[in-house]
Parts: sequence; structure tokens; C-alpha cells
Amino acid sequence: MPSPNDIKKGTVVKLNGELWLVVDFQRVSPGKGSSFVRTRVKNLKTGKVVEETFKSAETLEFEDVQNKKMSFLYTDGRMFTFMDSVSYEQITLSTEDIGESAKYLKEGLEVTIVMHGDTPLTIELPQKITYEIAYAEPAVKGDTASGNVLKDADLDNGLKIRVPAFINQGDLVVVNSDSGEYVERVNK
Amino acid sequence: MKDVARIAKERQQMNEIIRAFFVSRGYTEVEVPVLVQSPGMEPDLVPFETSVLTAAGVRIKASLITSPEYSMKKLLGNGMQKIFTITKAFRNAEHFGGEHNPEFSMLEWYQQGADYQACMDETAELVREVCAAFGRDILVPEKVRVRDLFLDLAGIDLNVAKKDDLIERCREVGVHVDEQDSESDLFYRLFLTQVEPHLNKKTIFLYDYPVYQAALAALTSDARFGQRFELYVNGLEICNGFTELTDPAEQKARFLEEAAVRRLQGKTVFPIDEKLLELLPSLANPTFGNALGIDRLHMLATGQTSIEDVLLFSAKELFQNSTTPPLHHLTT
Repeated sequence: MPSPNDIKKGTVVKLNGELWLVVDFQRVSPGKGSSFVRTRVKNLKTGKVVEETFKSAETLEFEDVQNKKMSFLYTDGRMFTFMDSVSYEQITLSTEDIGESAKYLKEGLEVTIVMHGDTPLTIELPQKITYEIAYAEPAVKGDTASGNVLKDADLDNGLKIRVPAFINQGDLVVVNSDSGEYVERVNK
Repeated sequence: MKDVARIAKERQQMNEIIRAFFVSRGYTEVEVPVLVQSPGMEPDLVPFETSVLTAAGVRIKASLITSPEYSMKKLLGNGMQKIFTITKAFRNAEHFGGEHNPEFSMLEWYQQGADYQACMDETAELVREVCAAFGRDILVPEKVRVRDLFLDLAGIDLNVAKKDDLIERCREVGVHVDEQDSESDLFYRLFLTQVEPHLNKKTIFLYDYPVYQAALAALTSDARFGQRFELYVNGLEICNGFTELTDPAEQKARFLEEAAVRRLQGKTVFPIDEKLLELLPSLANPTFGNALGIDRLHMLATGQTSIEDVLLFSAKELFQNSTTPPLHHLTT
């Protein structure tokens, strides 16, 4: 039986006969009392988003969803279009469907589309995504003594992150899409 | 890729302020063991278990403390009046990151002859002093009874609400319940969905928790609630304090009850700390105690939102390679 501890973004939970998509989740261990997973879930029929809680010890029913690999094509700012690179089939999701993941998208990025039957629900990003540095502030001299100085940088898709001082414009860097943090520089 | 020199310096400064704060108020700093036989019986906490191997090859079961509480109370029972400790505490089977790290720094302090109201005032002074040293003004926290907050935000009166009322209220606000839910679980479902989201921008003491949420606290005069409090700053829980229960019979009954739950859930049942029960009657009534997360205070004082940013070595870095998927909770 699935447990609330298996909940992640994209999980579809069956509650009182209705299907709810997990949009966001956070584990809470209050110290006193059971630990819980607090979630924001979206009703797949009505689209309503509510706060729900699941106790770690309770049993849950998950609805089977399918995963499909597709590449990000483009967005008009509100709708996001993805394409199957073999069949050329296209699907469209809204900002609400994608949530925080939207900012990590860039043209050609391969993502996992979570499907319920023929209906696309949301996307899952690869955990590590490589970007090119579009702009990085020059390193400040003398700042490098501790070896841990971070500076602001813009990625090729417009996302802003913090990178180490030695990163320059044009470098390829890997970013963790869970935390939004710089992971490493890619050697070209 | 973090600025370890800055983090180390901040922590050092913070600990110095904390020590000066308590020493100037007549507290004695004490060191207590982290390796013990009875780490705590709370059914929902999972201690790190190990063993002590004697030179003769005898293996004695041992665990790392989930809080220094038992040792601190024994010192009170031995006549110490005002004590504080800065120690590591350990909790297994909790997720890494955000607000949690399985190994964390805890400040605990106790005072005999004073109750939780005095403790709240002292906590407010400490937290504001630490934050001010880092250039952050924290408002004087308002004190709000849990009952009043639930009445306002969750639409239920905890003075009279029974388990069925909690279930009913969950249904009304569209929060599902589980057949196995205890009163405490139902309370927490309402708290997480109806109450806590409103604490995001507040500096607030919540106090007087329902008895099922404050098992080790002295009761309020109407015996409806336990004298427990928590401080929330911008939605982050900073500490958890009590007017302590000093009745050894009640304490023992509570330990046995928790041991039974642990046995039922297939968890390790730790020996009851008999020495603690023996010393408990020597504690003054009232005695307050408070446990404050130093890592979280560090986050608050420096405006960080994740615990990794205030730890030189976080569990996330030590145990969770960024290429592997997040660890699941242990099913315990």
C-alpha cells in the first residue's frame, strides 16, 4: 500500500472517490504527535486547489498515472507547449498546471509529462539541468580568499541563480531543479 | 558552495550572546550526555540507536538523545535552580533540509520557581537580543491562547470540542480524516490547514495546548489545557516550552502508556529512566523548561530560509548525493 511518505509532486491521490493531484508538499515533524505531510492538492475535476494533510501512518490510495517524455517547445507566457520528439504529438499545459517548475524550462529541455489517461496533468523536471551563463558579474578581487564567495548570474533562459566567483559568461553550469542551486561547472 | 567562514562566525557570535544572556541572569551552563540508555519514549520520535561496548566485550544498548530533557531534570532534582545547555540532539527518520536536520543544535533551559509565562517573556528577550545583534528587529511577540486562535481561524471551540466535533469540523472545511486518527492528529490537521497558514507573517506565542498535545505539562487552573507554549516567527517554529509536570506517578503512567504505543507499533521500547522518576518530586512547583532550536534561530537572525545555509555540514550534503532521488521516510 502506498504511504503518505511516497507523496511527491505529480502524485495523484484518491480521496472520497475524487482524484487530487499533489501540486506541492512539505513534510512536518512536530516533535509532539505524529508526523504529517502537508500538501496543496488540485481537484482534477473541478480544478479547485486546497490544503490537505496526510498523517505518515495512514494508508492512501494512489491513482495510476503514466509518464511520457516530451521536449519543451515554447510558451506564450500563460500556456506551455511540449512535443513528443518521435511522434511530433503536442500537448499544452497552463502556468497553474506547471507551477514553480515553469522557471526552469528552456527550449528543447526534455521533461516528464504526468498523464492521467489522455489528460496531461503536470510536468516533472530532470533533477539536474544544464544551462549556459548569459551574464555573470565579474569576480571582485580579494573576495575569493575564503573560496566560497557567490555572485549573481543570469542563465540562458532568464533564470537568476547564485554561482561561485570563478564562473564566467558562456560557461555551462548544472543547476539542481529541486533547490534552484548551482551544482557544478560542465567542462566543454 | 557556501560561505563557511561567515556561517561559522555568525554561529560563534550567536552562541556567545546566548551564553552571556543566561550567565547574566544567574543560570549555570551544564554539559549533559548525548549518549544514554533512555533517550525518550515519545512514540513519534525515532532515536539513533547504537551500543556501548565495554572493555570486557559486554554490549549495552544505547541511543543518542532526542532532547537533553531527562538529564536536565535530574540536575534540577539534584538541587540546581537555573540551568541551560547548548547541545546536539538527534532525531532519526525525519526528512533532510528545509527546517530539519537529523543532527541539530538545541538550547534548553530550566528555572525552578517560575512558570511558562515568565519563560515566554525570557524567550522573547533572548530571541530579540540575538536578532538585534544581526541587525534584525523582531517584534515583541503577542501571546495568544491556542483556544482563541482555533476559535478565530478554525471555527471550533477547544473548550468544549470532543473528538467527534474535531472530525466534524475537518469534514466541514474539506480536510479528510483517517479512521485511525487520534484527537491529537485531528487537532493537527486543523492546525496545519486552518491555523498555521495565518502565522506566516506573525511573531506569536501560542500557549495553552489541549492536554493531548501537552502530555508533560502542568495543567491550567481549569484543567482543560496543558501549560505549553511555542514561539512562531514568520511561520517558523522556534521553541517549545512548558511549565513542567513534576508528579512522578503521572510521569510514570505517561511513560508506560508511551512504551505500550511503541511496542504496538513495533518500535524499540527503551528502559524507563527510573533515576528521573526518583528525582522528579524534588522539583519546585512551578518549574519551567524550554527547548529552542539554535539552527532555526540562526536562520531567523540571518534571514536564511533553509537549514543547510546555517550549517557548515548539513545532512543533505553528508548523506544525500544530489544525483540520487530524495530519501523516503523510513516506515517505522
